[in-house]
Amino acid sequence: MKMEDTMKLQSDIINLIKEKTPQYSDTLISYIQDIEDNRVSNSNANERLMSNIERMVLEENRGEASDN
Amino acid sequence: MIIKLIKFSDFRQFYGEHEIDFGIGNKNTTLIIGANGNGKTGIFRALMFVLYGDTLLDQDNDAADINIINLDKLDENKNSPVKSKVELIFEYNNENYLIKREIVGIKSGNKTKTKKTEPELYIIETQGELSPYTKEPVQLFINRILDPKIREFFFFDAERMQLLDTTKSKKSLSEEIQEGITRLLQIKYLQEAINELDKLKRNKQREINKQVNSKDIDDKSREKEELQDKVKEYEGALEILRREKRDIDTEISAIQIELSKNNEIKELQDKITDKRIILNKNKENRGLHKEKISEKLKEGIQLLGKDILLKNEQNFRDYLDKSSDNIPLALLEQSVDQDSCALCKADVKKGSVQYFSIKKLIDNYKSSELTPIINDILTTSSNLGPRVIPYKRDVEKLLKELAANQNDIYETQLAIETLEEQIKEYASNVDNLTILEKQLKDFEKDSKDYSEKISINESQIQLRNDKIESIDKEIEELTSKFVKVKKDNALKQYLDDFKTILEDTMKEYSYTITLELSDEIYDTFMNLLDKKDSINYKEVTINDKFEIKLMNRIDQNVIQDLSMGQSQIFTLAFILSLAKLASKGRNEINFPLFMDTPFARLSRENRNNLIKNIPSLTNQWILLLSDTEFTSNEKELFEKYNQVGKLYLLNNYEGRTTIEAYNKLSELDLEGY
Repeated sequence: MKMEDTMKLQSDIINLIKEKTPQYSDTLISYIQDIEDNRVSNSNANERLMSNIERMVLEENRGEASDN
Repeated sequence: MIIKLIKFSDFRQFYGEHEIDFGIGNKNTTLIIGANGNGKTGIFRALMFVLYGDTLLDQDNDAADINIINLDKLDENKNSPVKSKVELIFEYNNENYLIKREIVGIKSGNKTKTKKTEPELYIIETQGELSPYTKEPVQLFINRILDPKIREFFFFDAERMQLLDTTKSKKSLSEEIQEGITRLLQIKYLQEAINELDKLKRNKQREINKQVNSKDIDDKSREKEELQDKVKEYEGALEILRREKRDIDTEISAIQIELSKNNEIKELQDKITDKRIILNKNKENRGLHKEKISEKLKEGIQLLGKDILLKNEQNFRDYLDKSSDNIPLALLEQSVDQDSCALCKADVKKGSVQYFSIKKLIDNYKSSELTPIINDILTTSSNLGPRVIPYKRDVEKLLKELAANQNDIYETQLAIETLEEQIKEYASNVDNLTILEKQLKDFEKDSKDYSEKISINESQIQLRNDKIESIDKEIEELTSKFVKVKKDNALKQYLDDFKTILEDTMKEYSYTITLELSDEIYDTFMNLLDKKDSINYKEVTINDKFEIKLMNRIDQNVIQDLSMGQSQIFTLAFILSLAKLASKGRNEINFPLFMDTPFARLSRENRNNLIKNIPSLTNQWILLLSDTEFTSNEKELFEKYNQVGKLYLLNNYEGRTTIEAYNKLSELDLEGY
């Protein structure tokens, strides 16, 4: 889906999320956009989010393993 | 969203094909003028039909009376299908689209059967070719652009649209407003995301618990679930309590406003009460005065005889001289007893000559019965003399005081009568006032009771939530010891962190955006309102339940006291402000403001303010005006502000409407229209 096709968030919301979590703001913003988008069911939105989070956990574990 | 062109054929009064171009850019105002019945609302219907498939509007009472397909066309083609079609070209997200929708009807005898077709949507490519839009169902796309639940805010039927329509229940009003605010400002979607994250988190925890298979964890999970159920119960009860308290508080505000209008009556009543206290006091004093005068008069009876006494004083003295009992017997006896003369103190020893002389007087003493009386009279007469003047003075003083008191009583009674006459003018309100005051007391007591119950509920919820939190920590601690669930724990932690971030975001955002919205609504309302009215209002407030209040200078919510016209302007201010804030960073939110007969209820100054300000507050302004709403005043103003991009006049001849386009306002002459 093109970026222009997605629902945009009000800029105050985006700024607040970026302020609170610069590292994961994209993930969260995409998730809220999916929730708002009536083309995307909540379960699909949740699936997408969980696969993003799993990737983050894997990267963390990889990072810990390489430190060890 | 920018609407560019609408075409319709055989739609309502519009026989044959017609089209309307809409003003855009810095000439974003479109005027469509027509007398009642000429088809203005028909254009509004065409827009609702093509976008949402609506064949009815809110104002329609009886579905059977609304014919979408032109009746003449149906009559001309009896028993054959007749198609009524509407097409709309619009721009959204820098892309141009064409949407079309049709309705087909067959008239047989007196009955007409109709069927709507599915809408078709095309992307208009750069060269003008049409590519069908296939990414998703058309209606889904349109609803995504402008959610049907909030479209009424932008397609403004002024005859019907009142944010504060008192014919609607309070519940449905606040739900509509809440819907508008939470959708457009995206608070709804933040909350939905939070709820989903919560569900994901719980599911993940359940998965972890299953894998771990620990009795301790199971017990704690069960305990937690029981607590959560209890919390839900309390939250349900709390919601009801809060709603009921809100209703009561609304009643209280309404009564307070009513009572304040009746302050004059209350003041009059208080004055009457004060006057009655004074009157009673004066009457008491009058009683005292009367007693004093009565006593004084008794004293004065003696003075009545004074002149007579004076006249006869000499006669009395002569009588005493002649009588032999000038010396009272008591003195003679005293002289003998005390061995000395009671008068001159000479010795009167027993056996002396003087002794025997006095004894002889005693033995021969014959008193005259008159002597003591005459003596009394003479004494009284001599005492009366000096008393006359002071007595007269006293009596005069008492009489003056009595007169003054009587005058006070009279004046107070007159004042009371005057006040009672004034109150009679408000006769019917006096009883209401008493009833309202009683109701207010009862409601205030109820409100206080509700506050207490709400507080108890809240603390019960907090208690259980604290316990739930502590159980969660215990469960986490127990599960973290199990290596096999380490990854799931990590996932759950992310979900938890994201949920917290979004909760904080929503809290801050809701708080600041509703403050901004309140200020924006107030500023816009002040700009659009008559100057003489605008000084009455201090601010707009929106609480966390999205209830809107308009506060006057003495901190009363006067939103229910707005006139129809003011209410309409307030609604406009709300819509424009909401759209402005919602569109921060999102151009696609800027919807056209489509207004059907907007000026009917507005004063001249209101209309002027709208014409001056609205083009700059919205993307596009499309007005359907009746001929009576478009006077020379409006024409001059539209010319002055030079925002009108397109101008049309609807003419109706024998039931068929035609659309006449004008290039300039100056060309339009409604004389004899």
